[in-house]
Amino acid sequence: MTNCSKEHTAISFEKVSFQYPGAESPSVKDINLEVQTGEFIVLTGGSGCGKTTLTRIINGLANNFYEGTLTGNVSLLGVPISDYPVYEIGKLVGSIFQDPRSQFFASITEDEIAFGCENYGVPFEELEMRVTKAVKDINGEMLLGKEIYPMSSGEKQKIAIASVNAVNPQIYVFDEPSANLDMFSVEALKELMRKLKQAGHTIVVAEHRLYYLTDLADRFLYMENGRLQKEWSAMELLQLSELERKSIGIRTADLQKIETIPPVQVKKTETISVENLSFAYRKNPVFEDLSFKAYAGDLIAIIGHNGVGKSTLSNIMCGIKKENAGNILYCGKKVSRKRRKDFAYFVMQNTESQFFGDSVAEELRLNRKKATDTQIKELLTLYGLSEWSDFHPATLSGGQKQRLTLAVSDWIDTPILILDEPTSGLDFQNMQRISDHLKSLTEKGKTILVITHDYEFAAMTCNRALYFSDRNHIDDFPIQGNLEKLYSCLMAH
Amino acid sequence: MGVKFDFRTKLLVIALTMSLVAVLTSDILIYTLLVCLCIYLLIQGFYRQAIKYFAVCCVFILLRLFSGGNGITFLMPEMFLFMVLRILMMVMAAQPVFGMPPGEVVAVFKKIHAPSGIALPITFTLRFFPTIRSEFADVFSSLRLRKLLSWKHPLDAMEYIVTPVIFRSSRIAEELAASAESRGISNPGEHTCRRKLLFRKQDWLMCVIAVAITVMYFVLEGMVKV
Repeated sequence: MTNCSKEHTAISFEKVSFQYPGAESPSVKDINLEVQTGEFIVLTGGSGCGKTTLTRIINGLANNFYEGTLTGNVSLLGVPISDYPVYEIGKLVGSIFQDPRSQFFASITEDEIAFGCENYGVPFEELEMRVTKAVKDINGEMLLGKEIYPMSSGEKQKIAIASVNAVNPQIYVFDEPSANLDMFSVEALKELMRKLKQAGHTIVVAEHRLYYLTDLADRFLYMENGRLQKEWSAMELLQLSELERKSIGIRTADLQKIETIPPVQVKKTETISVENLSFAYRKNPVFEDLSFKAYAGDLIAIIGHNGVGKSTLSNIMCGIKKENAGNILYCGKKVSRKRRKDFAYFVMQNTESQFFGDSVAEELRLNRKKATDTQIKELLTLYGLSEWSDFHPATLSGGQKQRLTLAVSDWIDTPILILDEPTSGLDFQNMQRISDHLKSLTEKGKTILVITHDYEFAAMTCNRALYFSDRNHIDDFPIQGNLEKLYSCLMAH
Repeated sequence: MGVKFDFRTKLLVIALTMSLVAVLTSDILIYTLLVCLCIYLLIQGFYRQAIKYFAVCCVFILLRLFSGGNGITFLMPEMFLFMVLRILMMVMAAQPVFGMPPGEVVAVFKKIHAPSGIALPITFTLRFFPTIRSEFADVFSSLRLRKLLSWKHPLDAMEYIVTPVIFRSSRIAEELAASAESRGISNPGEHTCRRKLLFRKQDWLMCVIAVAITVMYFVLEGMVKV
């Protein structure tokens, strides 16, 4: 798409198609693309559009690890990719994957950062220097010597970047790096990307969230059905009308354009009353003396930085964990821990851990053994899953899995529904679908609490926010008319 | 913090333990081997783990004694109790290598010229188990919320636990392998390590003790059989 001399071309695709083994059709088709050295490009588009596959072609995994069929010509720094042995590509292309949990090998920060260098036989004396520099580049001195496992997603992402940085590749490939991050960590990620760009690295980011990339990226490439369909500069992307953006199906590039929903009619029926709730892990208090109320029809965003106790509160509300002090009243009655799951259902972030059936239909039948095929079909149709009725839940896409968890929650049918980051890694259309569905549930009188870091989703979906400002205080405010406050709460750390 | 052994010493202890649990038939020898493994963990500073493993093994030993060699109902036949005890002892021997720096593991395998067909799967496995540990907690919570966890239907419950864990495990395994591949794990050239690979006096001593204990157990096993 851009013409420039060969020696300045970092990545070149000529009529490239790629098909995974066993797939019916290619995941990417007929791609022609040139990325110049030092250029920053963003690949975007709906789930399954082929952007992750494109990153896998660049880092060599598509061909060598996933063992698919690659046609056309791909070159890295002017050399055909097929001329590089697979282990050599890692020296040129550093990869940062979506899920920080499953890309670590070491327990301790320094060991993890050194891992790539160790594999490439970097001499002992130089190893320490590279690790120190990589840590300094991410401002990660505080993370030295620490166990990686208990770290927040943002910290893990920093270490993933440092471990690639230590090898010092020319090209960086990020696959949905913000999917598991809060907004504060997204800002930190943005700054790291800025440093990489300033150091002259070529950067390719596959991403749904675009707002944090507009002042970094040189080009935004929109993909659909495996093809590159549109190209925008940051300015052109920002100038798209809201109607146009939504019809294309991409997330907002400008958070200021997000509008709140009109005030909803919340009934005066009190469904939740949390009174002076406290919880501690061993002797470390998570929160103390928390109180709030919620009503039928409320759709509440629960916000606050990682570790402040949002998930713990949800676990207590549905009886998975026990509080140290305080009361929870559902519909005006004090409910024992064991009976709380009759009132509140919790959809966890990790959808894959919540499926136990052999098929989508069977998944629903587990909670209603006597359900007829017609009833199951009706529910699946409501959630746009009827075509996948016989598929195994593990084979569904992220958005479909999220919808299936909601379909299950419909059948369990508790008056209160709690969701943990339901839009993590979802494209605009799936996010919109989840948003519309939750609103329709509140219209029927449900109370919904959503733990979220997603400003766009919270603003267009929720009527109230509960902000965990510190250990013993919740700030409760309506979202309508308070978008600036919502933004600053989500950015707080 | 306890004594630090080289990865090669730990590998030897694992190999010797595996051979012993496969061969020993005498209960008293198995029970004394359990004590030896606890000491092995304690001297390396794995206090909590040693106590946990010992307690769990004691429960299984008591169940075996209580059942008089007949097992406890169809859910826990004698063979199950027998197997679990031996598997636990192998896990005890392997405990010191869980969470080891991957660079050290890879560098040692390179140094001893282990074939990559053996070295790479072991390196992945060491990282894999700590990664899937948290998955189990999510699965149990979800089962409780959906009211699918019931003592009345233990086989169903078992299936519900295993299914998502297997699917999640295969995905995590794939992602871990992709991450390692993109970071040069399969480089056939020299691998270095930021921690120096030193086979020190304590390693020699541990290896001699481990071999001596193994030989002694084989001799005692032979005498018991006679």
